[in-house]
Amino acid sequence: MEFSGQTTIKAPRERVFAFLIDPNLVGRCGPGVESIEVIDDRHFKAKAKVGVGFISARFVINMELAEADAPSHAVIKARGQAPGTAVDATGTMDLAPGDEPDTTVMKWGANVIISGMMASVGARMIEGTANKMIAQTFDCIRAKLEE
Amino acid sequence: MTIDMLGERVKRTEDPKFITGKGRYLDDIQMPGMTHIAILRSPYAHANIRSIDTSAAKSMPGVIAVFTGADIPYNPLPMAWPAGGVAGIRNNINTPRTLATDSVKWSGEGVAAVVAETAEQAHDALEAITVDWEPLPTVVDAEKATQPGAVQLHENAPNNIVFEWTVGDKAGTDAAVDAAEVVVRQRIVNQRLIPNPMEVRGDIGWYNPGTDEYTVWMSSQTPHIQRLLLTAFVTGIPEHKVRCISPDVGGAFGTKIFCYADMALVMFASKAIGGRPVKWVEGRRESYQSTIHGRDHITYLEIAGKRDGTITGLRVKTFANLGGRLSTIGPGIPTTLYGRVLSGCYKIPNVYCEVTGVYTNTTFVDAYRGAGRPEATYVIERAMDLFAAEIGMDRAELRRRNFIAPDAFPYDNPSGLGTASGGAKIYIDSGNYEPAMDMALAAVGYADLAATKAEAASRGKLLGLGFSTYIEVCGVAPSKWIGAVGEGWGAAMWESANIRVHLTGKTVVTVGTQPQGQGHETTYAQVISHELGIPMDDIVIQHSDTLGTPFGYGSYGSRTSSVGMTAAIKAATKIREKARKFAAHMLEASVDDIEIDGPNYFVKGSPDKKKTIQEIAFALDLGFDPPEGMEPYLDETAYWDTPNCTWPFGTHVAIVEIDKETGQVDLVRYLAVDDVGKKINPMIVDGQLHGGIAQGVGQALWEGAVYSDDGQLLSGSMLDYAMPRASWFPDIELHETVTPSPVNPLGVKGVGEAGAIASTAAVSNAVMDALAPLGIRHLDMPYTPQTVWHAIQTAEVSR
Amino acid sequence: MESVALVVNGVARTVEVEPRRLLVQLIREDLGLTGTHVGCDTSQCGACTVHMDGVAVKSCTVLAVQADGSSVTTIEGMAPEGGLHPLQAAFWEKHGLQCGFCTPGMIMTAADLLASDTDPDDDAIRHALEGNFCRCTGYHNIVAAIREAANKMQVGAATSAEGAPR
Repeated sequence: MEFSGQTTIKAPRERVFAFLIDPNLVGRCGPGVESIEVIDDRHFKAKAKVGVGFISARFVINMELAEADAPSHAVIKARGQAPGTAVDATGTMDLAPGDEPDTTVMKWGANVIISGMMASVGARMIEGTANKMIAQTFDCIRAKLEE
Repeated sequence: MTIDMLGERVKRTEDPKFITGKGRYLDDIQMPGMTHIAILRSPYAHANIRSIDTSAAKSMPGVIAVFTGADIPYNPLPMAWPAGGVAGIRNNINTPRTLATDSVKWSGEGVAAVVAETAEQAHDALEAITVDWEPLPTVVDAEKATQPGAVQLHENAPNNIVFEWTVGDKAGTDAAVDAAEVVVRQRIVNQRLIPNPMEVRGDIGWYNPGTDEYTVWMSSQTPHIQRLLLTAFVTGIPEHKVRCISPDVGGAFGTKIFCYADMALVMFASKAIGGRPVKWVEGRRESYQSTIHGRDHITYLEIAGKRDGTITGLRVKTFANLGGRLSTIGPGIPTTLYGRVLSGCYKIPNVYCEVTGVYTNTTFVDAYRGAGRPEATYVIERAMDLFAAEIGMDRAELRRRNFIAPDAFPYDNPSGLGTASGGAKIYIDSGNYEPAMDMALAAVGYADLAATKAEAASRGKLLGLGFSTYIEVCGVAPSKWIGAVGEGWGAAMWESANIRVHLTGKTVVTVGTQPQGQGHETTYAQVISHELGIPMDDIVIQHSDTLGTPFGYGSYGSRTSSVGMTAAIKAATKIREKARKFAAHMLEASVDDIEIDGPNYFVKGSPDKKKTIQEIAFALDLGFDPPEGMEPYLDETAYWDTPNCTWPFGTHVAIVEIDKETGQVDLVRYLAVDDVGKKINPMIVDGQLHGGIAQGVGQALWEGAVYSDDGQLLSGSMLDYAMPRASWFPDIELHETVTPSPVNPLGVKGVGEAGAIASTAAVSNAVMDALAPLGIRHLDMPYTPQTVWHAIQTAEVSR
Repeated sequence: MESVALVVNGVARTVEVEPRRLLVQLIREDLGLTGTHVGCDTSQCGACTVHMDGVAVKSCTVLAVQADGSSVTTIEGMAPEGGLHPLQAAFWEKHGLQCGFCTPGMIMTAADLLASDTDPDDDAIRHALEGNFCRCTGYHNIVAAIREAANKMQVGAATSAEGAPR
């Protein structure tokens, strides 16, 4: 599944970028995240509880900051596992200065592949749910940066 | 006074427990110290396993043990029915292991397992297992999987081909097609189905460290075969150290014939944890991924003939999807049970069929109700309708002109039935197809079809009538045939029965077959009561436990009545012979002077001088005074190997109405004429037909297993898979003709599969009949509103 | 653990359960009443249907704690020991079951239908069974059995009404 969008954040680009590459900050915006464990400056592990329809599962997610070109571009790759279910995701974020001073336009894209039980049972609901979760994640990022 | 109940609509003796909630299915069994095992299944349809970390799971609450494939020294599961045989064609075999070790080939293959005190704890602990996966590209379509450049699943199976099997005369058929006045070609898909018995599968393994013996309870159609396969082929444990028991089985439809990894897993786990019982029961969603699926053929058919309606040739190429690894008899279904009956009840001089068995990243495919024969019937019955439409001939008339004539039996069909087979002569032994069709068409009002359609049209509905004139091969099977390499198990398929008339006159019959809802306890008792004159109430039928029943091959292929009950009749015959000898001794008469009438053994001409079989049993079982050379006890065992299969036939008719605005198809009438030979219990026969018909209708109209391109089962639960509901069916009208089978003393043919074999094609032909005025020639099943609506829209735009 | 007090088939029971425990698990595993079956995990199949305070519910969709204070009837409680409810008798008579797995749920759902509609037509019967799957019978004989039971129960009701003091 491919998702993309664009949002304007009332914060300077450097601050947005710093937020995005800090697992403790960005991680808290992930859907259902219960804990974040930083492995090193590029790798971190999250635990999250995610529900699709009537199915919910607790995922262990290994994340990698695959690309980081300050202050304009970052790619985060994630692979999550729950019993009988796996999620492979790549999130791309491109930052540009906004029209207003101290604002940033973030274009984001996400490629999400869900395998296993959640894909087979939640198939009809999964795209809507994933779309909502991704939107919530970026709303959260904006909200925290604008606090 | 005994009443002979053979052929009567006797209420089932097994029902009181089921209607009061006292049945005992696998999951109802609770044992002291019982543990529960849960299986971690692959989310990926194709992946290598780099490593599995189970350390965290081992310390989860309630966890007793965690296993991966590396812990289990067993062999991969056996594959018992290689296709090919006479042609010597290679089968590239890959079967599941108890747990996968290096790679997974479908979404749902088991990779690790947790034993815990409760099922919830076992499932919770699965969350703590981490697998380092290397996902690989996938292929789910059997035809695409054989194309150059396709993803390869197994090194030993180039182009993902399991086998390439052919039957019939290629040169002759090619010539017939080339020379024909008319050739009709169509690609048709027989979609994948999920069988859905209402009880899912499960097993309980219990290792007794005191005796070094295992007991395995399993929801299975074949406990004797499973004991053989699990011991001799999978675990290496000696056969006499294992006992297999099937408790009440809540439906099976083929799915419970096979040897599954979980059976070996519970055996291994129970021993590994020191002998506590280990229970595994699959969830329904799990079942959709770990129990076999059915059908899944892509077929190119060519039917050739003359404008006068003479069919001269049938050429078929089929891609049969067998899944990521092979199930126990997966290759046998689209070959022997499909290709050899493709010409159905028609005299077609030239038939040639090629079947390519294919690996894909999907759940394995094996026998589902009808197994190969519904697919064959769908091909030939769609072909007949397509040909009739092409030459503008009435569908019934075309069939009439091509039926095998009633005086042509025994009939050797050109699909190699007679030549298949290691010396066994398999031929269609009897049939009379036209009267069954005439009866069905008269009953349904075929002559008034135009008026019926006009009436429906006045209500805005497209009405269609379709029928199929089917035959099936069942009552499997002569061992000489099914044992021939490539035509079956490489084993036998006889059946067995033991009868003991005890001191009290109560009679215990043990059999090697295994019911799953067919009412065997009732029908066997009807037969034995008829044979021995003992009241049904005094007879018990015992089955389903390798301890205490003679070896048998189990129940599938509509074989229990024709093969199993013939074994029981043979045993009863032996009982009668011995009783007669002893009666002569008791009555001080010569054996030749003893006559038998039901339970009574009397001296010819002196009906008062008699003993009943139960009196004879009392004296003979005590054995105080047997005649010279006679052993005590009325206890006889018999085995029966049938000389031929049986050949039920009939005509099924469906009427559908289609709402043009929504594409909704409603089945408004269903009528069947079946010839299943003589009937032991017509009530049970009717029930078997009802159920089979409903399953076949389900395939035509609603059901289908759907995979995404990356191998995810999108119809992965009962929410997503269209299980047929009560309100989707009309009442089913049943009629009969009776042509007794000549191969067994009862004259029965078997009826478990007939409904499912005939009905799919009948409904499909009805839907196509309804849509024909729009210029729609063929659609693939299921005929969901979306499919039909889209076809109607497309047709109307192009007109 | 939570304490759940309920009446099952006329007998008061108190069971300690985990909050996540389902009513069907309480019935099958804690009380050993295994006539109530589990045929799916998405509340589709209806094999687990029981009556809760006189209304048919799928016991896989009810938490055990929600049944606290309620009265539950399962297939085992449909008739006194040794007797048969008219629906049970009709399923037997009309061959309304084969493997028997869906049967308890079918009977419980049918009893709920007949409580509100004493003379349902086939259409009403078939629609009442919307949430109960059977894979063996094609529903034909299940519908016939429920029709038969309705007839018998009407006759029974009429007879007992006639015999009742006025």
